[in-house]
Amino acid sequence: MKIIAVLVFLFLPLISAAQNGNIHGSITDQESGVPLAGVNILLKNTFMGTTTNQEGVFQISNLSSGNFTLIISMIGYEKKTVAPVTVNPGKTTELEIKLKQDILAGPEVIVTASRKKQDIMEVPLSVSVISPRELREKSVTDLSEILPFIPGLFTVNGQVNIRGASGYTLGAGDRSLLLLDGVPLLGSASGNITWAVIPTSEIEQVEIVKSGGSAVYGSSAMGGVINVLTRNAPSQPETRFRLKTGLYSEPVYDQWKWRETPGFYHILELTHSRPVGNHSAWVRAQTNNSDGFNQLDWKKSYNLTGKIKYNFGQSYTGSIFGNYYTDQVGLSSLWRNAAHPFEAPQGAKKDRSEGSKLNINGFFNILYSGNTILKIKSGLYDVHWQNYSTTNDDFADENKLFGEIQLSTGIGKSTQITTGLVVQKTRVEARAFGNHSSLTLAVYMLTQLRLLKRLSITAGTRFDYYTVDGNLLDKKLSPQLAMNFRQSDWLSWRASVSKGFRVPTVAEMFISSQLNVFKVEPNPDLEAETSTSYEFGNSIVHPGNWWISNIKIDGAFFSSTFDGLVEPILGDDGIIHFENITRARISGSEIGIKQNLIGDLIFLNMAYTWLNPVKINKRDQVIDTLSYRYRHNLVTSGGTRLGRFTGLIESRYSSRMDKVQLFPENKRTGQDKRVPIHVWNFSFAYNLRGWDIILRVDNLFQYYYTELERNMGTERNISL
Amino acid sequence: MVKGSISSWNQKYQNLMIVSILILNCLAGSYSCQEPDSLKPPTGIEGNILYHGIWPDSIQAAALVVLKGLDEANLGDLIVDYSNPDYPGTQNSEYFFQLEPGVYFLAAVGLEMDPGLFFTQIDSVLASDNLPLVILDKTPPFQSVFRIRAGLLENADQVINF
Repeated sequence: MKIIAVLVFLFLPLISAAQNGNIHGSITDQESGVPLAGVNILLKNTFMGTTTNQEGVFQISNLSSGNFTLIISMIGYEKKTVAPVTVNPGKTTELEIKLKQDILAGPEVIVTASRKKQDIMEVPLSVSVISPRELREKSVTDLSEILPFIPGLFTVNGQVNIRGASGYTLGAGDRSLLLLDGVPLLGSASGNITWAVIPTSEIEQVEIVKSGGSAVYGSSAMGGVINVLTRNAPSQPETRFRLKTGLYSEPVYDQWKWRETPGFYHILELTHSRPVGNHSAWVRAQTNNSDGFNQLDWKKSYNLTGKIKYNFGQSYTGSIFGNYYTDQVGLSSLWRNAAHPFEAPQGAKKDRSEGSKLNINGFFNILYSGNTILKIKSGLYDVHWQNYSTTNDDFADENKLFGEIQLSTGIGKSTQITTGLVVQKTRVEARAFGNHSSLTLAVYMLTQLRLLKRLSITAGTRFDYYTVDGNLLDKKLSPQLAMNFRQSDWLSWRASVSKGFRVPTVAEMFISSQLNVFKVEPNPDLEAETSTSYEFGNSIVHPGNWWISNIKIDGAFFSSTFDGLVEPILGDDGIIHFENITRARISGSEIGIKQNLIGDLIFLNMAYTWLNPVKINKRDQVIDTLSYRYRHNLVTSGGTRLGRFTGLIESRYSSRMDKVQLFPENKRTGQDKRVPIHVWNFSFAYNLRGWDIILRVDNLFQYYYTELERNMGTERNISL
Repeated sequence: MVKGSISSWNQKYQNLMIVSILILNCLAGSYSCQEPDSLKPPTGIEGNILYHGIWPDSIQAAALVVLKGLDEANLGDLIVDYSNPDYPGTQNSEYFFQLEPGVYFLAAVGLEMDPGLFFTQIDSVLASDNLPLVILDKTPPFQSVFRIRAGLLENADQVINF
């Protein structure tokens, strides 16, 4: 009986009687007439929307009769409004829509904040989006390279910080959740991010949600969520070849020179995409070889990635993504000394790590009507690594299984309910952490209400139940309340309050290791950390005029109070433990501005973030500064697009870190001096018959700095 | 969005926004062009430490210390810096001291406590009357005098005989 009920439920779209009307349409490129897959269609002032399939066709079913306004958008195409579209009972309104190419058109729709397609101006939380054009123009091969240029974000030795939430945690316990197509991609043992496994050339867009993550995504999302959405294959066969080759400059000071010949790096990539019947697929192979800018920065890696998108008509779609990555890298920890900052410490010159990562994700969507979708997601993330060093022969085998069922449905035009169930199981076998397993069970529900034509409220909560080695570690309820008021087509306001949490990772609880002269010992009594976050912000997206156009401004004030924040603490006993420090508060503000000048000839971008990261006592009095956070981050960029040429110059400024943990500055000798980061980059691109030729110089003026104590920042490198 | 199509967009807001954007861009640009404060090669002394003989059981590690004066009874106040500790059994290692220009004295000391603990509690340990440090007898303590000159990195190997 149960089986019959499930079958009836699953095949409901085929047997449902259509008393309401439908909109059916096709979308093509205005010039070539080629059908466009993946175009976003939103019904204005409702929560309804869909996407075109491989043939450029869409259908929104089960609509009440009346007039609708369709907002059509796609990266690289001019946004289009189609109105009025009249829907009559029992009938299907047919549309043929043509979109005009506009290379400057950025993302207009996101999916991460509310687990559903939303107009970016109607999102109730702070969100930044990175488009594939930005990744291409900056010749990005590792996503972490571009993150410090996003308002509210910075990195410390590769560890991403969204509004300063993570600091630097010795590679364990990120407070930012990385998703790949909506499936978590954090390591099981350390909860860390391996940026190298992300196929940056195959990204559709990257969505960064900066608050309220736990109510939607649970643990690790308390500081925010980075969702990398991979592209689907286009409707025409396509082969891409990419070669990036470059060299690192010699240090500007003779004393720091350490090798006879410059260090080189080469990234070679081949991607083929094609439709296969109604389905589509792409496969990509990449090899990456680098001598590195310091003695232990070398790397050899191979990466094979593929994605198949299934289309079984309008109602059933699915996808399988697979990625295998293997590498050998220098095992870097600290420099030899300040007199030789690019050299490995004595006896560590051959230290290395070898590893592999396998990631398989899949989803299956069932569309019941224009506004009811069942999504089934699953994922496997298997990680193996082994260190080869005289002082560190750690190894780990980690795997993670993830499953999720999500149902999203609309009640009328003004209410949307999204609910889901999540199961995640991890297993770790590691020398430094021991053998452990964990299980997460979670249930969530988000309700979006459109109270007035321009006001929408989102209320949601998620309940997580988390066990380690079969014992209950914690159970947490993470509620969220957020609103968006769209004052006009070009101006919106948002405000939110949310609770978040993060359970400590296996590494934080059970690590037993040695870091320089300091022992790192386990603390199995660690508890989950919690947060309460508030934010208020606004967004402006305006076409402007000929002098100043495509104006995008996003600003926000925010504050998060953390209880039991887990940080590595060097105790008076000379031993590092991860501990729940009493309380902390990170407040601040951020603003990002993008605009074009003089008829889109010149583009100017800037982003500024101010943070006040402090430890506080129970009476909210400030008692100390949190380590590994910059108070001020300012990035600016400007350039010109002139026909096939694009020129760009950008700068990044981060103020001197107020506090670090391991090697504070020695005032008597000047040792371990910390300086602000002040880096300039330059790039020049030319498009020649489909080939993008990009010359890029990073750290143009050879500015020397440390993000992490006794680790020199990247040397100037020139790539083509 | 078609340029100029929004009825609510009036000239007043437009001018205000454009002026604000340009001011913010100018501020950001001028801040980005500030005089940078890049790290530079340090002034100081470096070299190898060579250990000869059998390590005594009483010490948990050995290190070089830089002193600004010669008074064994007042060692804690005179220590300017210390090298990374070497554990018993080490035969050779490297040392490096970043120092301001001036005259200094170099000594080898044995640590009678855990090195991690020593460096964590360095300030209180050095301020105490009972230093857990022992001048290693067979080294030439207080004999190794060196002068640091601006912009130069001196190089001198040190031999410690147990």
